[in-house]
Amino acid sequence: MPDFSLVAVAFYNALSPDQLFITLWATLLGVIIGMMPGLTATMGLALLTTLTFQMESGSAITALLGMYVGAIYGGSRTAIILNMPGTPASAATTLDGYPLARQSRAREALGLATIGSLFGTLVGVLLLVFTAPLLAGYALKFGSYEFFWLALFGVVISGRLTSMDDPLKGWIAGFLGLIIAMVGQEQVFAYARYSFDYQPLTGGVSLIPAMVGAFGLAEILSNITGSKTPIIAENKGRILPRFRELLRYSPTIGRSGVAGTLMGLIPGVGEDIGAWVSYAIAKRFSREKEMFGKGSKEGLIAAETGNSAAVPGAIIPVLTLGIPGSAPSAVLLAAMVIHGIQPGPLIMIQSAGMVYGVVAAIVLSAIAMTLYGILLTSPLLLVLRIPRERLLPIIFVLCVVGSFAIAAREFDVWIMLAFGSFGFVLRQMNYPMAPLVLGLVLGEILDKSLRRGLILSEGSLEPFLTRPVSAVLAIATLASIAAIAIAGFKSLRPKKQG
Amino acid sequence: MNFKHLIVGALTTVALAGPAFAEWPEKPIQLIVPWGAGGATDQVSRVVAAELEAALGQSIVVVNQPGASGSIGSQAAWDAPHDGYTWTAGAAKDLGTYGVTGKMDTSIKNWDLYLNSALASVISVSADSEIDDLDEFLEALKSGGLKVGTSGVNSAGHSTIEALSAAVNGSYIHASYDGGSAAVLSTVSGETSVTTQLISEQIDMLRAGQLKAIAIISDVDVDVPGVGTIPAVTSALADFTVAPIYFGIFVPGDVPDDVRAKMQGAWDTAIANSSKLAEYTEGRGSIMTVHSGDDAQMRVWPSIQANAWLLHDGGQSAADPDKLGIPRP
Amino acid sequence: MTNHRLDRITGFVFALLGAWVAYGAWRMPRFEDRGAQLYETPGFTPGLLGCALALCGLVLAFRSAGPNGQSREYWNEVMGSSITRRRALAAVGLTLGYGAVLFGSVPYLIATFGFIFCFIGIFELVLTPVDKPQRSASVPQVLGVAAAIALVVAFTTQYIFKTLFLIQLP
Repeated sequence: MPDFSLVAVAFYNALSPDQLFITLWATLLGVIIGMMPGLTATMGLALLTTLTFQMESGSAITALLGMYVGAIYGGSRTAIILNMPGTPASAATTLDGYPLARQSRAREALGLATIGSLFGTLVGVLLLVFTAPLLAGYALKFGSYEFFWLALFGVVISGRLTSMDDPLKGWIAGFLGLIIAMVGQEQVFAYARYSFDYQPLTGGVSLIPAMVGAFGLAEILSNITGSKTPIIAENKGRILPRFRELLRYSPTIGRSGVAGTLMGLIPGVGEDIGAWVSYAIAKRFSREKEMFGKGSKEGLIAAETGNSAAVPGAIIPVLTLGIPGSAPSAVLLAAMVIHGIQPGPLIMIQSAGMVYGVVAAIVLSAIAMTLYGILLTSPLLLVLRIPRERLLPIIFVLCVVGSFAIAAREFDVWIMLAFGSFGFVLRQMNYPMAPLVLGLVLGEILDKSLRRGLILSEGSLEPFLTRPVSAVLAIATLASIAAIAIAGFKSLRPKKQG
Repeated sequence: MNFKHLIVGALTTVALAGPAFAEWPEKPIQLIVPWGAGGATDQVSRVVAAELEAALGQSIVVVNQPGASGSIGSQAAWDAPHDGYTWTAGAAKDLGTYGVTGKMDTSIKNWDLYLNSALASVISVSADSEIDDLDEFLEALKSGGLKVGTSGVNSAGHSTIEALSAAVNGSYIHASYDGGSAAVLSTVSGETSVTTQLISEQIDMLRAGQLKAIAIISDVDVDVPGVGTIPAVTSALADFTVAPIYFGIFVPGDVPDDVRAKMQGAWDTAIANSSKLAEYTEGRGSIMTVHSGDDAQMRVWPSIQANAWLLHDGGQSAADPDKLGIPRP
Repeated sequence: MTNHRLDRITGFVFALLGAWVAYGAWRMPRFEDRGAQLYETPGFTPGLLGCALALCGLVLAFRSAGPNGQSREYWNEVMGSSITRRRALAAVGLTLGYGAVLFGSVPYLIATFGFIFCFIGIFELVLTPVDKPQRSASVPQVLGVAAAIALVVAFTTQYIFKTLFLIQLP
């Protein structure tokens, strides 16, 4: 049971004018960084770590949390309006967010995503306050065998979800992503695979430029190619959903919140998988399955609740184990260490007040994020009114600079261009881009945990199938593949003559 | 179209008006950290960068360029103009052995080293392990089958277990993880039975009693605040080569003389007396070791020699260390 | 070209790609001298993935036509008419030209100004959409707007990234 007097003190401190001011600017900066294609939460946090170095440690952590919450949310703005996820976490948001915008319901979609993010954060925070030590134990249950299945499951599910009529194409995109992730130095012998003696390739293909290319540039190219001017109707609908509507979606919000938090917890699995898993679960339970991918409000809420809930989720192992749950939270952990805060198994005993300080900062930045979401909706919708001939080149400049900004390497710009041009061709033939990008995220996990698992089991497949979490994931993955594969092989008929 | 000419002309002037004859540093310095954000190198580099910013009166921009065991970022720092505006950071023994592993054509002697801290590896087992002391551990290593978690080939943890295993003629199962904290976690969760990562990566788990320290790779017993005294590895293996891992900032050696003079000045005053660095190193169980110039080269050399030959004897080298001017220790 | 036909061709391409990936994995060193088992070798996972891609490619190539198999929309959307073909080519040319050639070799401000100016100019004056053959604005007006946007974007992005986010642009 949490000590409520400590919680009250934490909120009282966080509401002091100077702390509140820090939360406000840091969250706004986060939203802006999240919206920019190429600038991610991880990068924003790293940048802010350096900038807040001289600040008092509590204030610095408040600023970083605001940045984290804001950036994961900010990505949804670009995803809905432009069909480009601002950060990898909002890739699943494009699936239903952009179709809604195309139906002139961008205002509604932006509002729903905001509310989804708010509730997602709150669900995650509740789990953090009440069950953090328990959940930390769950994170420890994830060994190499479980990671292998989780990676395979992620690609299989995303391939199926993003390409409803033709899962085969979703899987091809997923396998392409996994294969591209094989490029570069591997872990067991430090051998550089498929690098053709070209040094930049020995480091592998970075995720962000690839994502910016596959979503950003590919979208620009197919958008400008269309010879008809897209008609943009007046945006109607309210920003904030009605209470009745919220009540109807509350089971989805609850499920997605829990799913997102649990995904965030697992070390190395972050906000992006959180969004995908909660999207998949929402579809499974939905009464309007056929609407998913065509502008389902439920799907949009699930994706946004899922990625935002993963933020407090990823912070749980940071605080209780000193192990980051996701890439941005790794930077947060580093910043805490630099500021002399030592998170770890003893934190609840030694400095519970600090933990509740983190909780208060997250809750307040979630509220700030909601306010910005409502205030920024109308100006953002103006973007839709800019003629595409003028908007698209500007976005492309952001794609180029954003890809370059990650590591100041021109090689990353070339990766972005390659993914953009090939992605354009593939999209023309209905290949979804999301599994490609997810494959790139999960490829390394898949390879390392498969081989590490086999090394530890000395070649035996048994632990992959008998450990409890492994078994559940294995059954889910194999059943999903089998269902589609049977249908796929049925369509293989002998070739007709002539 | 005169107007357009005017614009292009103005743009060119703005873009090309370069710095001229000003005193270093008159623009922001780029510090390439060749490992991911949040790792051990990243943390200490950011602490040092912030302290140097004040000393040099110029902002230092930290850029993470991870990949290929840190060689990609180091190469990028080498490829940039050697004008003192691009630095890199990391462990000196990594930079010193890229030539041996064939990842990068360089030698430690081509760089000016500014060392800030040193770390030792610790041999640890999970709290409920049957192994209780160094003798039992070495016995288990001799009989083989121990599962050892490290952060990968040629990481500090891997070099340590390789050297230990060679010393007692033992064998082990090697599992590599993404970074030191994941390797340490694998021992906590029981997936591996031993970890030999750096003390800074284990310190939280040691303090919380989730891990049991068996020995530290040092020639004296070390008293670690919050953990207690960890026995030296030399208590059982008297002639074991002990070389701490030095971390620092590295600048190409052929930068202008005034850059070197100013850096050394800042290093010997601001960094040597930095309370933030002292606080950070104490919290992480590392030792603050501020050195530059020949002194720094001399200190890192033993660990480079040891690692280069360990790699070569293990069949993991692309070039003979002797030919690269690294004689067998 | 029908969708089914196009799928068949890409199916073969993926099958070949998968086979090439698997062959590359087979050719990787196996470190037997260091006592490596098959499942430890660098080529293990890419080999499996290459086979999986090749299998998916073959299924795609040999399956019977689906519900929209006889339609020609994949091909026609870009290659169908001369205007979409030219718009696609121009867009690819401009973006690749800026990203791969200008960015990094020419100062950022000039490259960005040139790219945006040309992009707006070409798509608003030369390759106009079919439903808007006549422009309401005159040529100098369009060029003026293009130059203004290009100038503002070049300077604003440089300010944001270089000054606020401390990123060194080429």
